[in-house]
Amino acid sequence: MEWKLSTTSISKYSTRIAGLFVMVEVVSVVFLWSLNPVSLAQQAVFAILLAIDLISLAMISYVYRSCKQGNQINRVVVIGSCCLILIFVYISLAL
Amino acid sequence: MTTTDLEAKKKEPDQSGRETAAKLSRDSASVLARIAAWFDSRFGLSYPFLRDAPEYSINPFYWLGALTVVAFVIQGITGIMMMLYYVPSPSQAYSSTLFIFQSVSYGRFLQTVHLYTAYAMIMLAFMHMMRGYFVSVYKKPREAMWIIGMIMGFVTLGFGFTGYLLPWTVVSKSATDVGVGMISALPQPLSSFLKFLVVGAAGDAGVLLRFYDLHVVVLPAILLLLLATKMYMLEAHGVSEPMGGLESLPKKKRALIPIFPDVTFYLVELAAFFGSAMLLISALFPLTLPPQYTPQLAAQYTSQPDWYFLWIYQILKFKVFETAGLPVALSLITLIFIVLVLLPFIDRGEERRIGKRMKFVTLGAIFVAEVITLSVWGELTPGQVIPNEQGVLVLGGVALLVTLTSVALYRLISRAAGLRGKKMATTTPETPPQPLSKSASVWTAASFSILLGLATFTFGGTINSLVGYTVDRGSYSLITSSVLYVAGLCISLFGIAYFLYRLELGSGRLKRRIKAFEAGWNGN
Repeated sequence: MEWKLSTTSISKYSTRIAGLFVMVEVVSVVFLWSLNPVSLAQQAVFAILLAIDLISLAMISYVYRSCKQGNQINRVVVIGSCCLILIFVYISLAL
Repeated sequence: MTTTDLEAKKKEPDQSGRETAAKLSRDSASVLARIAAWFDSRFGLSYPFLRDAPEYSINPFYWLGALTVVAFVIQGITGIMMMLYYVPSPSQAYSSTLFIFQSVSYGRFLQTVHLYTAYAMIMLAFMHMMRGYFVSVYKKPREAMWIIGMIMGFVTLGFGFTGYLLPWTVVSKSATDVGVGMISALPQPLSSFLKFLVVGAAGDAGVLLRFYDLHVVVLPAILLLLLATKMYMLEAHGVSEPMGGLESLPKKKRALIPIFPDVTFYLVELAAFFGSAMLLISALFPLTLPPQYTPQLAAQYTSQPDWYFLWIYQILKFKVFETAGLPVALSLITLIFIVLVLLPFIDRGEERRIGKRMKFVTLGAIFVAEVITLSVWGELTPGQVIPNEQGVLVLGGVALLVTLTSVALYRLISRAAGLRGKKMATTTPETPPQPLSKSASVWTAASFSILLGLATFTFGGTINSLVGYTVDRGSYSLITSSVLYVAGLCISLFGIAYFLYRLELGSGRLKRRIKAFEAGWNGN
C-alpha cells in the first residue's frame, strides 16, 4: 500500500487537510471560552483542548512546509495526528 | 461642443482623480519605503542574521537545545502570571500559592504546567548534553560552546533548586534545608560565597527572598545572556556536521534550506508537539499541594530532594560519606562536573564517530547508567544510610555490566565491519597477530585486577551473608545483600571468563600451551 500521497495531488489534498485542522482549531477555541476557569476538572479539559489546538497548528505547519518544499505529505503523520486528536477529545470527555 | 467633447469633459475629473490617487499612492509608498529603509539601515533588518540550515538538521535530535529554550519560554510565561499573585515571605508564601491554586482562573493549570515544563527543561538539557557528548560536538572549534552549554545546564539546575522552595511546603522547605546545610561542608571560599549569596543573615525570610530574587531575576538574566552568546556562536560555526562528515551524506541531505520559513516551521511543529505533551501530562496528573511547612511537621518528615538531585543525594547517603566524609563526597561530585566542563580539553582526538571512540562512549554510558541507578535507588530508599559494601556492589556492578555490554557491542560491530571488509576485498594479505600495545596491556592488567578483587570481595560477602541468613532467616536486608553479592560474584566471574577467552583462547595461546602440555605428557 502506498503510504504517501502522490505529488500531483498534493495541492488538492493539502488544502483539504489544512482546512480540516483549521476547523478543529476553531471548534476547540470556541469550547475553550465556554469553560469555567476556576473549576479544577474544567482546567484539565482546558489543557486538553489547548493540546488539540497545538497539534492542529503543528499539522497545518507540516502541510504548508511539505507543499512549499515539494515533499510528499506522509499519510501516517496525518492519520496519526487525527487519531491523537480523537484520543484527546475522548480524554477531555472522560475528565 | 460635440457629444464626444462633453464625454471627455465628464471623464476629466475622474482621470485627474486617478492620477492624484496614483501620486498619493506613490508618495505613500515612497514614504513607507523610506521608513522601512530607515529602520533597515538602523537595525539591519534585511541582514540575514540567521544562516541557512542544512537539510540533515531536520531531525529532532538536532533541536533538543531549541526545545529546552521553548520549555524556558513556557516557564517564563507561566512564571510571570504566577508572580502577579505570589508573595515571597514565609508567612504568606504558602497562602498565596494556595490562593493561585484555588481561586485564580486556571491557577492550578498554570502551576502544573510550570512544574512539568521545569522537569522537561531539566530532562531536555540533560539529553542535549549527553547527545553532544556521544556525537562529540564539543570538539574543535566548538569547545567554548560546550562550556557555555554546561554553565547553562548548571543555571537550569539552579532554577530547580531555587524554585523548589518558593511554595513553602513541608516537602520543599525540608529538602532545601538539607541543600543549604551542605553549603557549610564545601571548601572555604566557595562555602562563604554561597552562604552570602543564598542564606544571608535574615533567617528564613532572607533565604526565601534571596531564592525568589535568584529564581525570577538573576538566573533568567544569566541564562538569557548565555543563550545569546551561544546563539551567536552557533551562527558563527553553523549546525554541527554529522559524525561521519558531510561526505557520508547524500547530496540532497547536504543542501541548505532557508531558516524562514522551512526551519522555523519545523521548529513550530516540534514546539507544538512538545507543548501538547506537556499539556496532556498536566491534565492527567494535576499538581497536588503538600501541607504548609511548620517545624513540627518537618520533624516527622523524611527530607528528600526533587528527582533531578536524587543521584547526588544518594551518593551523600553512603555510610562512608556520613558527617566527616561529606566534604570528600561534595568534592567528588564537583570533580565530576569539572571533568564534564573541561571535556573538550580532555578528549582531544579528532575522531568523532561513535564506533571509533569506545573509551569515551563507554564512560558516558556508565555515567548515564549510574545517574539513573542512583536516582531510582534514592527514590526507593528515602532517608536510609547505604552500607558501603552495598554501594560498591551496586555501582561497581552497573559499571561492570555497562562496560562488558559496551565491549561486546564494539566487538560485534568491529567483527561485522571486518566481515564486510573481507567481502569487499578481493585478496587480503595475511598479517601475523600483533602483540598488545603498552597502553592496552596496562588497561587489561588493571581491569583484570579489579575483576579479581571484586570476585574475591563478593565471594567473601556471599559466604558471610549466607551464614548470616542461616542464623536470622527472616531478615529482609540479609536476603537483599545475599542477592546483591551473588549478582556481583556472577558479573565478576563472567568478566574474568571473558578476559581469559579474549587473552588466551582468542589469540590461540592457551590452545598452543595445551598442545605443548599434551605433547610433554605423552612423553614425546
